[in-house]
Amino acid sequence: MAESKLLLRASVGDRELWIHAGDVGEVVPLEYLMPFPSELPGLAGIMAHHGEPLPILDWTPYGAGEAECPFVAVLKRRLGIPLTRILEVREVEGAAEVGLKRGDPWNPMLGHRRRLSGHSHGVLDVEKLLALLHNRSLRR
Amino acid sequence: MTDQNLDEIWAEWEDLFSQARVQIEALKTSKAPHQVQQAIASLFRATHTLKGMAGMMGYSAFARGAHRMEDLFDLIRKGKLRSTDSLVETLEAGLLALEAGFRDLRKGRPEPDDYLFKVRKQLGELEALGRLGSEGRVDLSHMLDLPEPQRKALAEEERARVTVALQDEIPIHGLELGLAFDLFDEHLRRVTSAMNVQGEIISTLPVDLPDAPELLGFLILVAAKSLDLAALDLPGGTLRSLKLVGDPTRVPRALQASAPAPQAESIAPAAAEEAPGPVGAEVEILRLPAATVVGLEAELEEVIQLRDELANWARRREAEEAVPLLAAMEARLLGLQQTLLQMRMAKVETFFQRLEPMIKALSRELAKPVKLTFTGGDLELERALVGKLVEPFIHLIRNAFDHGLESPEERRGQGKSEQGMLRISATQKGRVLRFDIRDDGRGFDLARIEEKGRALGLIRDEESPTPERLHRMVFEAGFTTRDEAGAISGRGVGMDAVREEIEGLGGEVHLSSEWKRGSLIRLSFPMAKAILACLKVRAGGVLYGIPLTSVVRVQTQPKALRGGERVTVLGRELTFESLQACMGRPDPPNGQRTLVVVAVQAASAASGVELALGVDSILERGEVLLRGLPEHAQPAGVLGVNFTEGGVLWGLDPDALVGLGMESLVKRVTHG
Repeated sequence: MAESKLLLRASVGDRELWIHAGDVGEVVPLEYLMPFPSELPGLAGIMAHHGEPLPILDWTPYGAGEAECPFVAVLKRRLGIPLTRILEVREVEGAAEVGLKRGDPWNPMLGHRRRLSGHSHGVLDVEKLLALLHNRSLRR
Repeated sequence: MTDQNLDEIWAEWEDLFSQARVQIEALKTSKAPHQVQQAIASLFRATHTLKGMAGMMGYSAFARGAHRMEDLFDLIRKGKLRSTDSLVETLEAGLLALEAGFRDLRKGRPEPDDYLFKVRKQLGELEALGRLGSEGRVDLSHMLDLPEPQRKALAEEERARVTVALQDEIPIHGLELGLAFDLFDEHLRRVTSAMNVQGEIISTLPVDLPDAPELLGFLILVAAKSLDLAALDLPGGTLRSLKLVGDPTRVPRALQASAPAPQAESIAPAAAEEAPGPVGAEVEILRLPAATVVGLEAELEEVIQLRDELANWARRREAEEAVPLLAAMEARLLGLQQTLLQMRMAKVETFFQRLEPMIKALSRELAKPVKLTFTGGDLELERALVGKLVEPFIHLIRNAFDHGLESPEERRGQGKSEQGMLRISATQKGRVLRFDIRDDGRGFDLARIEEKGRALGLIRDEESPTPERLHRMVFEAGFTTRDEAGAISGRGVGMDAVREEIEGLGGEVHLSSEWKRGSLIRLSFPMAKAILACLKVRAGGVLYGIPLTSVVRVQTQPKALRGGERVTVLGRELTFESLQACMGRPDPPNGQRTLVVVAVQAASAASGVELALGVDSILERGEVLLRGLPEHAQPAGVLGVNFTEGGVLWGLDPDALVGLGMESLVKRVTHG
């Protein structure tokens, strides 16, 4: 996981998510998503990004498949996270780290939760998410 | 000639090659013109002497090879070719080929027809570049007895090859073939493979056959001293005409390769340095830092992104008139990408040629003779990797010599041949380039590794490590089974560094062995980009590219077929499966009439495995630039993707595809 203290807060449908700013290369419009020729669990397809194929996360297994996501956060580890809105980028030093909520379908990709201004939101653990996708593709 | 005399002569040959190696090393490191010129002059003299000695001893093929190398050094010393990294690489490869030939001659082996066979194309290109007239490029393609449009259709490189062939007094034959549409791929491949054995194919030009519109016409230009038509195994009625289109006896003497060039012998090396060749005749070969090429690639990526944005804009506005312009831009960009990629790629052979002398020296040093073989030299790898891989490879090979391969006495005692075996092979599996280093030595002593692992605290008391775990332990930091460091390896600081170095290059290393039988070290490197020559097909609305190397035949059936049915292709019964089903998608509702026979080599079957693959339509053949996908997004059966105007083309991995086809067929049987 990146050491960045800066977090990017974004929404996916009506849920919010924190992503370490150091994990994100850029945020671009999500355009012309092309599906894979065979099923690849957890991924919606690819889009062209700087001429390279960028795999895009599928929110369906996390209960957010219907969310309208016009943006994509391009992770440096070559994965695109579709987002509904970018809310803020802020320093989180000192923010309390809290445990994951039991039974939350997002838990497999979250490292922990952070409490800020009275609300706690999950922080994306990129390594965990990539391992999850990799294992899923191996299990096919 | 007495044995003693012969030994003295061979020793002189050995000295000449040794001097040549030193000079080649000097060329690699020297930048000052006078040093380059000195090295070239020395190499010219060495090859000239070798030519003379070979001729005197009756080794005519060797003399021809040495003469060819001498000519090249002559071109460089006259300033007609500039010394560059790739040129030095080719010269070194040529000299190494001659040196390997010399060792065979010394062992009394017969001469091959062409010692420089493996580098003949590169040498030919250099010769074409170097043999330029003082008033411009010598182009003998105008002498070809061909209609004007066909002559003009020849690419610049093809014209250069015509010129070189005619200058080398090799006739050029023109074979006009008429091939049935549904079989043309297979027949053309068969014929061109057979021709390549007899000579060099210069061009395959499409031609109109007005009297046989049902056939596809091709004119194949092949440079060969003679042509054995029977050996070409042409299907009946295929050959429509054969004629000599390039006659070397008509080449004016002044333009023949053997003609003495004006002032050639009068320019001393130093004088040549001061008086470079005429500007108009000189071919500028640039020496570029790799970073410049990488920078160009990055800039090209930016242009591609702009093209993507433009394509998206055109789609949003349904701007149909932009489609042909975007397609033309796509073709140009692909051409640029290909050129840049080729600049960055080198034959694996180049890498092997660097390893060979080092391994031989190691074998001599340790008095452990080995039969060394290399395979897969025709594959390509990134040029930048060639230099970076030498050191880890040599370390692994040193380790094999030190720990694995036994002394001749020990081998004899075990009933093995005194000479060990060391086989280095390169294969491409999907998008992964794999190197295997196999030896038939004693393998790894797993009991000893376990003992050491426990002593070092790498294995817990309650743990029962598997052989895989023990083999992996060899690559862990500080691990060694040696109590004292050997002169060559066994210092325990190396194998972990080798693993780190390989992983740093994006690769992986795996080890396996069998006690007293030998060991295998496997290094795998994923390829980020590759050019794929493929057959473009559509199935279920998706565009795919099937590598042409695996396409055996394309056939249209009178009635639609469904997955699991049998179909007769070229007299053989094959199983049919739709491409959609292979990719786990729904079967086409009305079956498919078009099939592509894909053949792959099975691990256990010498004849390979064939599958009749159903597709909705065949679009065209072409070359595409494939881009790799990350491991976490790798669809089964896919090598990589190519972005096209219509969306995306999925380049298929034939081995995986046939495996998926078999899985799908098994499911049909088991699930009814």
